[in-house]
Amino acid sequence: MIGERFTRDARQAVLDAVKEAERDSADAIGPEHLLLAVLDAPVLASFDVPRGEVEAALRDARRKGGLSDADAEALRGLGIDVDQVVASVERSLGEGALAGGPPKRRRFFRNHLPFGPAAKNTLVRSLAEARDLGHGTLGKEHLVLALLSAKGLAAEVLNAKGVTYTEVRKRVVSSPR
Amino acid sequence: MTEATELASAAGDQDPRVGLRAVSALRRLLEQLEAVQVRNARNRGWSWQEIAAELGVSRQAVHKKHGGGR
Repeated sequence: MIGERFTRDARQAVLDAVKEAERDSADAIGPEHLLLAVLDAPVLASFDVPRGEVEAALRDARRKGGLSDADAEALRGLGIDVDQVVASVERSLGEGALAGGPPKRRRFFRNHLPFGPAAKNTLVRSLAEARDLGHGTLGKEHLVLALLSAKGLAAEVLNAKGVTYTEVRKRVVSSPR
Repeated sequence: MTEATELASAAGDQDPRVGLRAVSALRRLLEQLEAVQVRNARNRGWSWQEIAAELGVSRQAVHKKHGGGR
């Protein structure tokens, strides 16, 4: 069972991620919800990652159909201007059209939002991070490392703020436990 | 990341990462566009058959992919 080695903080982060996903009216919990839930991790304290800016970056990416700045850059290399695509779709179908429709209400018998595949991977990966470091318990810092080790929006938003896997791992290694 | 890709990246021009990244981003953009257009068509009363014909796929395929939530 994954859960038994979680610290109280890490458990709280998972619960907070559920809340973030609910606030988002998401169909499932994603890495970006976990990201918002671990922003207050002590290991991130020495970085400058204001919650407001992270939320804005996530919102912006969602408006572009979940594409990050790096994705937009890659598409620009192909001659595709994502901003123009978004503007064109929004012109015909309304603002936020690419951000996805209203949540699918299929949870009549289930009160809990499921973890999406990427968020599940993050949890599994966090366990591996803790193990690699020889840590007996799993804390928020391992969740942060797991988010950073995966390709995806959460890692990119953090990277853009100068928070990289290598830097965070250094801090985790050197911080007393 | 293999050493070979690192080298390719250092060589600059033909970094496979750049090309693959673009393909991946394009695929995700395509999926989003398809979802939003199918939703719009459904809201306007199009049948799955009509939508499938425009997309050039089978009715079953389009219904399986987009019909689950309703």
